[in-house]
Amino acid sequence: MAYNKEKNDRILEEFLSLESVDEKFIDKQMTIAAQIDNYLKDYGWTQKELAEKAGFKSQSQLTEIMSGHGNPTLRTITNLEEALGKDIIVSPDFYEEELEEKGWIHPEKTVHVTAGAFRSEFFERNDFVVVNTGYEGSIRVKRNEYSTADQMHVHKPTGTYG
Amino acid sequence: MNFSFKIKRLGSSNKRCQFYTIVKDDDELTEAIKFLQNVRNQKSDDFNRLKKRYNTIRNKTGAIFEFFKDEGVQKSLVKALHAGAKRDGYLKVNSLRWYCIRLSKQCVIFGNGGVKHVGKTQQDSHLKEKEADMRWVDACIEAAQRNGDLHVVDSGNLYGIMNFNEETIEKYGLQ
Repeated sequence: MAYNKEKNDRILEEFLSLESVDEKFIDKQMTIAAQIDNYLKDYGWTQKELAEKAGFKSQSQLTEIMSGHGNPTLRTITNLEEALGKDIIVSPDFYEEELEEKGWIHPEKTVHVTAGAFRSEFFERNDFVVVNTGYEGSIRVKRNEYSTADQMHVHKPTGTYG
Repeated sequence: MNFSFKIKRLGSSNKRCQFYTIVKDDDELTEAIKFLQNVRNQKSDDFNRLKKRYNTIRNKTGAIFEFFKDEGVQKSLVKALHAGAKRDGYLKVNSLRWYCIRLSKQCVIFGNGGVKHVGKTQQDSHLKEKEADMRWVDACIEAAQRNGDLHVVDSGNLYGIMNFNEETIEKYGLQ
């Protein structure tokens, strides 16, 4: 019997459409492991070194986390983060605020328009990647420029007006 | 056991890791699909969880070394994807194993596998055979890579010889 691509594809599709139990949990286990793996590669550290810096009693505790099958406590994660000097898990709202404070991303600002002023506005699309976090995306930044009525004749366009 | 085989892509192209499998000569199904179609495997508690791991690897994390279990031979690329350890009394048991060759973080070739209920793979004739199959495929792939006939590029895609027939196997001196 010859290779049957259609039949193979159909069986694979059936497998991929299965509902997974613990889907979110497994995803977390694996992404946390992947994040630590990225840091280890960046720093050139071994698992043993990280386990020591994080104050683990044995390397096997870290090995289990790195296998993507661990269930580390928040304390364990924090110890790892302190040893690495970087976050492993983040709370999106607060993390975004921190990135804004560092000037890595810019929030869209609302400015009151004063009477008698001419407001010109345009939008810029800024792509950003936050190093070592897996966060990436783009934001639409609104730029406002204000000219009073008597300055309008000297105002020069600085962007694409939307 | 020596056999001729072809390398086939398993599903479509993925974001983080490309999956391949093998089909033996004259077989209708690839080895990976035989694993997925096996009712004994499907009935295992681990089957659904294995699916999630498969998905996360291909779309998010890539095939991180630690996600795979060594199958007796250290530093061999033949590994097993498993759904994690469970406690059975005092023993930790990893029951369902899906044998594969982890060529890189971006490329994995899946074979067959099965449920492991014995202490050592060698005690289960089915698992022993499936593992031996993957070791043979690994030897062929290694020879092809050494000869410059097969390459894994950064994206995880394989380029080069995909058909390992008797002639090719003889050329590599693997008879």
